[in-house]
Amino acid sequence: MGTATAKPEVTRRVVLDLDLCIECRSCAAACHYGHHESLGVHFAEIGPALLPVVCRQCEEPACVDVCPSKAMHRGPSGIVQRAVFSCRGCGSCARACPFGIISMEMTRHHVAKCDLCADRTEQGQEPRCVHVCPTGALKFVEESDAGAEDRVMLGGRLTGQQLLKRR
Amino acid sequence: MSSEPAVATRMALCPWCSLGCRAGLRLGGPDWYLPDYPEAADGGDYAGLCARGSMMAELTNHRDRLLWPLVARDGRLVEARLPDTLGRAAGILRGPAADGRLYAFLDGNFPLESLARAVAALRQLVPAERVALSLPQADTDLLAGCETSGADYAAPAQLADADAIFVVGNPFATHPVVAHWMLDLDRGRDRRPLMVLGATAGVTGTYATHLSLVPPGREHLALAAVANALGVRGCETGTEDIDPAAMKAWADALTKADRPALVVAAEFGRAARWFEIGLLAGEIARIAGGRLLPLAVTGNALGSLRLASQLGLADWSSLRAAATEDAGSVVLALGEGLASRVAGDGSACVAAASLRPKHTAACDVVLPMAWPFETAGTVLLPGVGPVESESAVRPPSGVPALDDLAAELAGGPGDAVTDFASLAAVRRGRVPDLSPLNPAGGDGDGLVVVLAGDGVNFADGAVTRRVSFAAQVLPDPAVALSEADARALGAGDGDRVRLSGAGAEVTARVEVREGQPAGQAALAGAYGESQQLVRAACGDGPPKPIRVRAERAAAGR
Repeated sequence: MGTATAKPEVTRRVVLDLDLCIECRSCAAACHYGHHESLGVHFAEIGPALLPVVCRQCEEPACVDVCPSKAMHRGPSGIVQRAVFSCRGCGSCARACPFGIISMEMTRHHVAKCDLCADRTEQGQEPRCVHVCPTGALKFVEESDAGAEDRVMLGGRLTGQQLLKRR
Repeated sequence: MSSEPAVATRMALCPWCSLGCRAGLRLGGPDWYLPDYPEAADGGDYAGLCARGSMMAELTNHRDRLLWPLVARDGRLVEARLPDTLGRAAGILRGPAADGRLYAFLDGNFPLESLARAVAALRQLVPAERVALSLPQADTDLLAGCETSGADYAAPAQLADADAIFVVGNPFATHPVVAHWMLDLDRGRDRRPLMVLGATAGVTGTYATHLSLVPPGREHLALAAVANALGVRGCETGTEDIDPAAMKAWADALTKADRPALVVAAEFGRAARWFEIGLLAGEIARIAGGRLLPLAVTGNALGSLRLASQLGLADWSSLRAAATEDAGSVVLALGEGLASRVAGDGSACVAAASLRPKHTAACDVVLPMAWPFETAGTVLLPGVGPVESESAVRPPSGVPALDDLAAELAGGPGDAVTDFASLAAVRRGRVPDLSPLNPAGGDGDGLVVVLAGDGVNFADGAVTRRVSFAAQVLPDPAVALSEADARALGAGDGDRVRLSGAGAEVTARVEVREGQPAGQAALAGAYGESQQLVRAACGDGPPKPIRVRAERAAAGR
């Protein structure tokens, strides 16, 4: 079984400003086409709202612990990734993920998994889902800043207040 | 598959909406393209890219990409060599059957240079009055109305500076990137009015300070009531569906604003009086001292409309009707999905497309051609003006561009227009029709369905149905229902209902939508089943809202 051998080094997270999400699925499309037509952005349907959900890059990722082939691992940059040629597609990681964001759908024999667009983030760019988001609802922020965003006026409503009621 | 020799990023304009988002393609591996995006520091037009724009990557090297011509043989289309097929196609187009009965249709969503050269070449075969540039009818009608109004257009970025925004439709669903300027730049300001008028509840409405949902086919009457409150003569509607006091309040909010903007999205539901909506929205913008942003589903709709007017080309829908009724005619259809829409029974048809056609019975010859985003040139965007678009990638080897193909078929290039700065606005002296667009199927019980677009499935579905993302995310049509209607059907989110009327039926997944008016439903339009329902109810005429019978379908159907 794989183990999380390194301390997490991911300090930037993808966060969602609920009030700015217009449910356009641009994030999912960018992810789909940026990852060999597999999907790392999933959606939570909460009442009338449709909210994009991406990998939270857990400090102690269950997906890594349960992977029988050590395909799921934490890379040098701290990002929890899946090794393309090691994955057997057994689905253990999908079952272990407490947030349900790993797809059980087999895509080219690999389980779809958000890797924070390592090819971009390692060059200082944002993940694709963040970059294409038309409204800025998805942000790639330092973990310490995630809760310190200014409140925003939209159509007379404050972000973060009564979100699900509003939608 | 592609002839692109090296890793390179070129920024093209996304062709699937008139906002003009930039996107490039980058080689991710052999014959595998990734979408690439401008960085914020690269230019002021950075705003994101919606799902449609991302689809470019797959279409470039789509598994059904047409790389060789197809010719009809024994009832099947079989592959053939390009020189032989061009000769055969030219023989059909220049043969005796085509004499006086040749109709030419071109996809109007190509850059202006390409369209002008293609038309110039084809004019050697066919007079201008039998050549048409194809656009979605909603785009043509909406823009014609906007142009006739004489309103000043707004560039999308100018929305950020507006102090009141009046929206017709659901642009956050159909043109998501426009939300960038309508929402993001509002930070730190006091509340500004966002007035949303539509035929269906949608995500745009969730941000509205003023929201009015009117029955499908009556959106133009609500606009007329606002125009009437602003003093425009001839806009007295007197219909009970519209609350004049509410529309007066909207008019007051507009007149109080210093920089109002009106946003009109053609795709929010195709069954509407688009010319009237464009005209009235433009009138309101003019009187209120504001600007108008029409949102079309084709990127170069405005340029195509103006170019067709300047060149004296035929109206697309009229020419299509003439061609389909003229049994024994010869039809040239250069564009994805065009042949099946314009070739009538008994016609000879020479077609060109980027993807291998699914329905091949209508074609004698199918030639490969480039996508619009593989063609560099000028695109005319409302409020922005002419914009140069690079080709995102060169088309595959042996796949000609639209204008090259036309020149080959016509036997040489013609004398093309090159001055696009002087393309004049298209003014139509049509009297606005202020009667409601009543549902096909008449009065009675059942739901009134309006076809609606969304950010993934768009236009007539000719492209959407071929791409993997749409198939993965929204494989089936969805129908938005009110809570009351869903309860009456015994259905909830994700259940399936059957909508039937006029001899056709659609089975769709239910989305119970807060705010959706009872008795009305919005059905995703870009699916074959939805299109069949419209054709069954409306024939070849313009689409209308459709009255249908609804019942819960068995699971899995």
